[in-house]
Amino acid sequence: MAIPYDLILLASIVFALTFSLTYLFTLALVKTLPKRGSVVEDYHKPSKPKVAWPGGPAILSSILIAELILYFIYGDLRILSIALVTMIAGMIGLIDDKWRLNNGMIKPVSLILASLPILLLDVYVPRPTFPIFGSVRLYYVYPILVLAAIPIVSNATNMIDVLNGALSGFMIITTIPLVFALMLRTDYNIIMATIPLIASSLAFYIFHRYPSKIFPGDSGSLALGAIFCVIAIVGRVEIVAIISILPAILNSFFILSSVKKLIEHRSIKTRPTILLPNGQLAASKETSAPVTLVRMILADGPLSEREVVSNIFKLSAFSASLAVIMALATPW
Amino acid sequence: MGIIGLAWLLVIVGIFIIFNLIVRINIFPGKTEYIFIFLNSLLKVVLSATLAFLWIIIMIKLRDFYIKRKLSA
Repeated sequence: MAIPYDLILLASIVFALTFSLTYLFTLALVKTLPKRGSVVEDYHKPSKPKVAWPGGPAILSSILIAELILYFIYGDLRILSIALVTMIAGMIGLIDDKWRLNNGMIKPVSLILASLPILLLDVYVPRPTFPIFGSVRLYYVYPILVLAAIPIVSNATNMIDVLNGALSGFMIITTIPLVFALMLRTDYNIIMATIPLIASSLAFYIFHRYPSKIFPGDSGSLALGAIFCVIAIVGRVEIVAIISILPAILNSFFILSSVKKLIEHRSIKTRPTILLPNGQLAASKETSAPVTLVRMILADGPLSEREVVSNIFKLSAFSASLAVIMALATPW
Repeated sequence: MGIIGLAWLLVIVGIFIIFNLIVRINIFPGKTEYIFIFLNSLLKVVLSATLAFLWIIIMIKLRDFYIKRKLSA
């Protein structure tokens, strides 16, 4: 599989552009947001420092610029749908960051709107390809699955955004199998459209990693989840994407099934983790506390925030390896 | 990693069951009328949904087992 030289060059330019834009925009937000009082408490540190928030606009705007440039180069409607889905999800996140949509139902329902560009631009193929067995026709069910997918994946990424660097690092690892599967499918347009997601996550990670200088907020987490999901749909690598993002899906599934209703992670009354005086995190033994991925990681004993995030990355890498196996076993 | 590995394994087993068993089901062999095709397809959807429901139940049981074993000690 030889990748044309001009594609490598364009990919490098797109990566450098998105990375630089996210880096500069985030740097500007880190400096300006605290002056405007837009900060939140970092709960998982003994000193409870105030951290700039939300950094989502930096991620959202740089991804949008890159995707729109790619759309004008390729004229591929799938890339336009990626830009539109990301923009709508990011805007919903921004509204949530500003006005707090505390009703558990409003956000998932409004995120259905973000799925609409995929259906309206008719950029989906209702024949997902499964490992070993190949593609299957889902003409009637697939559009319904598309409507459900964006809210599910966006909320899953939103719920994994609980510790310093967890979301941005997770997205980098999770997206690698997608690129691998797209390379096997030789879908270069969508590979190009995936680069802004990786580049933006990587640039944001520099500020988001421990100790965080900025949090992405819902505008960042929903936009990243939405772009991941729309790439999987229009790139026709749905099964690989599901396996790759399994830690986030299981995390939100465990939370929702333990609290037994749709809920915002910030409105959970009993915290799943406890901050110890030495700065380490421990799992709550309260039976009413929700079961989260972090709580399960801490069930073996207290860990520092860095160690928990490192464990999340190891789980993501494990899941990404399983997704790569799925990609290799799929008859593209 | 155990839970994620098992979830992955269950997805593979589920795909195998759907493609090798459920997709091949034909309870009205030789019948070509729309109603029989519809009922046959409906059965496949119900069986696949049951499989998905079973996956959810297994995940919940696994979560409860893990939490009880680790946190009630």
